[in-house]
Parts: sequence; structure tokens; C-alpha cells
Amino acid sequence: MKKVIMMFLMLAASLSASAQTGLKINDLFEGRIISQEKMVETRVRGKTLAKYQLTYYRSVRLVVAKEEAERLLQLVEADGKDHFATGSDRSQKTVFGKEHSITFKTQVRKQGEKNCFLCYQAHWRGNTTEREVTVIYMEGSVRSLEQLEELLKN
Amino acid sequence: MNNLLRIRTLTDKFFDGDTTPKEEQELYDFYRQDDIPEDLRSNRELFRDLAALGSLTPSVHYPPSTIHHPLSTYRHRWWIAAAAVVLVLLIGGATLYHHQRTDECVAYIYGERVTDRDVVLSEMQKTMTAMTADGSDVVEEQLKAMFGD
Repeated sequence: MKKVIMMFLMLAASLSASAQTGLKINDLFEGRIISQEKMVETRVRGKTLAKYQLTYYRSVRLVVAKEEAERLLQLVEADGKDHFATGSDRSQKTVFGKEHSITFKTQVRKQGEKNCFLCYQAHWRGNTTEREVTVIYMEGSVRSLEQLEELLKN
Repeated sequence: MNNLLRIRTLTDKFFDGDTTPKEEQELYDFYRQDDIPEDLRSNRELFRDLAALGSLTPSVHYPPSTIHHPLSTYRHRWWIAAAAVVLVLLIGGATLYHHQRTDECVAYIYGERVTDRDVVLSEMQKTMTAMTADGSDVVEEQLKAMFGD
């Protein structure tokens, strides 16, 4: 009977698991780092995403202190290292001496035909200590973020 | 002492459905006693009932294959449990498959649920474009679009 109960529990756990389960940044998506009332979350799944060769899209956007933004970047980078780290890309840009941004993009998983990507961007102006952070998790058959970029342009 | 150990082992074996008729008879004989260790006492009624059922067997001699044995009852229970698990797995799998294929289009803007497809998709597209192009002024545009400033 214990085996039966265990199987039920495992089934329940697998049904409740979200797509980005297992990633350190999942805590941010689930509101365990910063309250969900302080962020803008977008979740899209299904045929709407077909033109981008994606099946699932989830993003959060929020304003945090510089230290918190760096902590979130560390989580995303750790997920890149822990999983499918090839092709990770980090860039820092300053535009017109006022606009700044740090971007990190990585593929975190590959399950058969399905690829999973994680992107992070922090943006700020001048010397402010606040950062506007966006984190995106995406799944789909799109082979790379470069290919996705091409699809977005078309 | 050794006998008690054997009884405990046989009891476990019985609940796993692995006992032979002879071993089951041994259990019935044991549980018929009044002096039973406390940890086994909870099984006493069950085994007494099963033993009583066995004694009700008619004098007519049925072929062994037609006799409904308590052991087979437990095996049946396991088959029913296994069938239930398979059924739940099938339903769960179908639900999961359906859930993954179902369209979802929702945004939570500072805790407020938004299901307006245009707003959600606009937000998504801008965010994706900003990320892929490293655009720096798109976030402000997104906020303006979102809140109508």
C-alpha cells in the first residue's frame, strides 16, 4: 500500500511542477524572492507562440536595488552553468553615457526537440542604484536565441 | 521466541500475499490463542474471521481451482490497486498533455491579473525584442503602453 501512496504522491508532484522547475531562478518566478505584487509577470503558452517556434514563454519584470539585481544575475548564471551551458552570452552596454544594461542569455536545457532558454537583462540610467530587471524563460523547438532573434525581426 | 519471530514474518508475508495455505493455517492457529503479543493483537480479529470463513467450507469437495482462498482475495486487492494506479496515471498523463497543449495568455501586473490578449502579447513581444536587441529604451515604452501614459 505504501508503494501505491508513493506513486500517487509522485504523480501529484509531477503534475504540479512548473516548466522551469529545477532552476535556481524559479524562486523569482514563483515570488519567493520578491513578492509577485512588485513585478509584472507574463505567461504565454500554446499556438500563439508557434510563429516563434516556442511553446512556452514566461517573463518577469521588476525594479530592484543594484545588489538584488546582481543576486538575480548570479542565479541565472548559475542555472546556465548547472545545465546546458554552451552558448551562454553575457554583455554589458552603455548607451550615450547615460543608459546602461547588462544582458545574459543562456540555454539551460535540451530535452529531445525541446530547447529551454533563460535571459536576463538589467537596465538603468545614470548613477541610480535601482535596476529594471527582466528575466525570461522560454521553451520550444527554436534551435538558438539567434534563430529566435531572426524570427522576431520577420 | 523463535515462534513469534516466525509468526511476525509469516504475518508480513501474508499481507504481501505470499503465504502458502499451510502457512496461513499456521497463522490461523496462532491467532486463535488469547495470549497474543500486543503488536500482533490488531491482526487477531482479521485472522479469526478468515479462519472462521475457512471452517464454513461445505463438505462437498470442490476442485481446488474453484475454492475461493483468502490469499487470492489479497492478490485481487493488489490487482485492483494496480489497476487504480494505471488509471490514475492515464488520467494524469492525459491532463498533463492537455495542460501543455492548452493555450495560456495571462499577465499579472503588480498583482493584478490581465487576460487581454493584445496587452499580454504586446508585453511579451516588447520584452523579447528588448532582450534580443539589447534595447535600452524599450522598458519605458512598455510601461507607457501598459499604463497608457
